[in-house]
Amino acid sequence: MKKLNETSTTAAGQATGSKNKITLIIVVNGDPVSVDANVNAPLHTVIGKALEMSGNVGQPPENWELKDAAGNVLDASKKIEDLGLVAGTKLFLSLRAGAAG
Amino acid sequence: MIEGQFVDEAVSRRKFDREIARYRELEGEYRRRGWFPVEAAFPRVLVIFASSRLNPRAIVCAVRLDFTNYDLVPPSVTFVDPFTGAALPMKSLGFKMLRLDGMANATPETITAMGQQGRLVFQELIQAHSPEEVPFLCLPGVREYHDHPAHTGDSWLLHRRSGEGSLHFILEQIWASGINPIRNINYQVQFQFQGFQVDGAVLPR
Repeated sequence: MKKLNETSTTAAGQATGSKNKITLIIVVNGDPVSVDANVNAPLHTVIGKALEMSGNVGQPPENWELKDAAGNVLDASKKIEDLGLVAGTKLFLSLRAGAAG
Repeated sequence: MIEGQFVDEAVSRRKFDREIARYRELEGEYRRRGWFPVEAAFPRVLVIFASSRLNPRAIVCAVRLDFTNYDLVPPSVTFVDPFTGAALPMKSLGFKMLRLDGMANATPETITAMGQQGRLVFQELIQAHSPEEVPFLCLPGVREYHDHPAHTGDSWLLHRRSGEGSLHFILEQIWASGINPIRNINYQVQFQFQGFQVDGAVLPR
């Protein structure tokens, strides 16, 4: 499991070597991991990586949704660049709650 | 149902400490959302939720999670008075946790339009059998849900490895369904006829 530490948090705030690659901080059910992403790829490409890195393999990727810090659900089919996400952005990958009531 | 701690306490304590450590790692983010933990000593956590969108800022609710026997058993969730810690009956709760039914793919514009037409169907996640009873959070991952006779077919052990039942998951659900959607305080003003106001200058002298 790849955990954030002080060094990786600092690194996550900077673009990686390639101009198309950035590192995003994905908080998976309260557990932050840093994930490399291509800005030209759709946002959903980071979901599988973040789940694998955090060890959250009990639910399929479609049962999770990415939100910004304010709780707004992001359209994971859009390109990362088009969503205005920059290196070091913190996103929240939240499990959709099951059937209730 | 067996009462008290029957899981090796060291195991539950270690898992509780892990939940708290994860929370502390993101405490700044949570604070900006209006989450204020005021107690965190095994087996209980008490978190106060405030709404940052209201002016003046307002405490909406407080919730106590009990991690006894975690995680063979999911946390118990009780809404309490933030000042006394006493469990609140349904009639005193003052807020709701809502979910929209059948609107998974609707755009925000569609939801707004349907709301203006009064056509939205809400599901209430906090339930009680009477206004006098202490309500429970009816969600998988919450002890009261899995203990309820209506959910005997949905064992916690089927959810245990899913991420449900963690401190973050439960607080996130409360925030997303109960706190984050709050935009205004809903006042009810009742007018009572008290007579007429008169202009004294035009009265006969």
